Amino acid sequence: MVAWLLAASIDTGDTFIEELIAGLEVTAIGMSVVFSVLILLFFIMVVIGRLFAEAPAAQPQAVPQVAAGAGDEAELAADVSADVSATEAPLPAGDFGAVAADELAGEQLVAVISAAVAAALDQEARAAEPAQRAGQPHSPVRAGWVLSGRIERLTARDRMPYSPRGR
Amino acid sequence: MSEQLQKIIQGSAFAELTLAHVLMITVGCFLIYLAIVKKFEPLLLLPIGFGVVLANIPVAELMAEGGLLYWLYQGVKLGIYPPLIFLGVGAMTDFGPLIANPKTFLLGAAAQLGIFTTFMGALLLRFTGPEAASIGIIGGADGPTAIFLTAKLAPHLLGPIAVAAYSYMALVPIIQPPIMMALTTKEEREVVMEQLRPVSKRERVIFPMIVTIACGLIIPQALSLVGMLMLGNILRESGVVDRLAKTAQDALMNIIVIFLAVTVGATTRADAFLTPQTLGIIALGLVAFSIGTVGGVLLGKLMYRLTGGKVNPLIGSAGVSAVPMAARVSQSVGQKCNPRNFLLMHAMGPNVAGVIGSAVAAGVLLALFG
Repeated sequence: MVAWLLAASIDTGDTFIEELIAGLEVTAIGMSVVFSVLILLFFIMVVIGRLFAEAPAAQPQAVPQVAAGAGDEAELAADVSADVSATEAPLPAGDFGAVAADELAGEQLVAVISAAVAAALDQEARAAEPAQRAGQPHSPVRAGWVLSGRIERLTARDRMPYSPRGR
Repeated sequence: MSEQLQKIIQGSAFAELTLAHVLMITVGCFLIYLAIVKKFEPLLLLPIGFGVVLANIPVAELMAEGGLLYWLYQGVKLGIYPPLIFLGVGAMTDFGPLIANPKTFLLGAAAQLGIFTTFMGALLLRFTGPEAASIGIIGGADGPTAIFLTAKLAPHLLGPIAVAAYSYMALVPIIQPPIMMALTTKEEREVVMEQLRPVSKRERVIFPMIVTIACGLIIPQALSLVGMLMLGNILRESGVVDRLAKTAQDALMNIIVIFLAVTVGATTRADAFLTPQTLGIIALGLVAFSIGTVGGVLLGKLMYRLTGGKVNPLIGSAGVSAVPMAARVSQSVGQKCNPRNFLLMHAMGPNVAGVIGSAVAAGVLLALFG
């Protein structure tokens, strides 16, 4: 290779070697600049990535387990009283607010407190005694609707005049 | 009547038609054939081929001063069209894979090796410095960059260089795979890379600003290319100027591509194109492309070693710009070795880094020879 280069330089006067050196210089400078610019960008983007990268999706917080124990009743009573105080909080001013407050002051208030206590007790019972769930989750609302539907159908059948099957 | 007929016949182009014209018209028809039948870069080769035909019909002189294509060519000569193409490219490009894995910047830099080694080869073949620089830039596999630099440094070589650059870009799926296969082992090709992290909008918006400022300060000669690329990208990523982003990536881009490609094709006139130099340029262009691919793959291999086998070296070949063709080649070669391997998104990182790298290389050559 060296002999070939020397021969070429002799053939062409020193221009071949000169051009080779000039070419190598440009190659070295050019590649250095290209690498320098892109390495600089690389570092900047690494820093920016650390500063502004999207945080990984937050882990869902563990649901606090209601432990069955001696102090639970006191906690439960505190919860219920908190619910009640929230319900008794002053409603927005105006006619609607006044009417609503009056209504809640009566039987509905008792119903709300009862529902809150029942819900809290039910939750505690479930946490304390895990039970196998049914294939279709039981819904008291749905059961109520189904029951009233059945009653309605039975009553309607009673009211209908007798008609033999097939007519 | 006969006098008028004779006048028309004398005024027709047949009288001036030479073998060189016929040859060039055949070249133009061949490019159109490649575009339509072979589907090789049809968006570019079709108008380029048509431009070749237009410029080589004698007497019409569309490229002579005052002709239609002469005026359209001013956009190339003054360096207006290539940056506008970059604006559209920026508006279409998702730099997310590069931001998510900034290491791939290095692959984009390594693949520019082809530009400078070919520059050296062209110098040794007795091309002048500016000519050699224009020939070397073919190795960047970036048409607008090649046209931008050649129009400034060696406008007389614009035709052959543009045709060589776009032809080789179209031939990336044929040129690159043998080199990639020869330089990598089966084990390296089978590497499955980790999924890229999600990139926040803030990073996407900051990225074009950083690149513009850094490149502009270091290589101001590259700013018209890099700046327009990043302007297009920030239009896209900001999310507040959808109309501008859509115009840049669609209507404006298409208009400029038509003007650029037809006028570049029209520079390939018989007297300038059918020379031994053209053959030398086409041969050197192939060398540039190949060495660029070698540079990217070799750095990919180095990264494979340094990361303990976490980087698939095949993505290095995508550093030679040619978006997104080179990335698709990495994907297809990788998937041949491991059908469950999806390298496309990983290869897009070096691919878009290559666009920035080749623009920076063009800026360096412009600074040295401009």
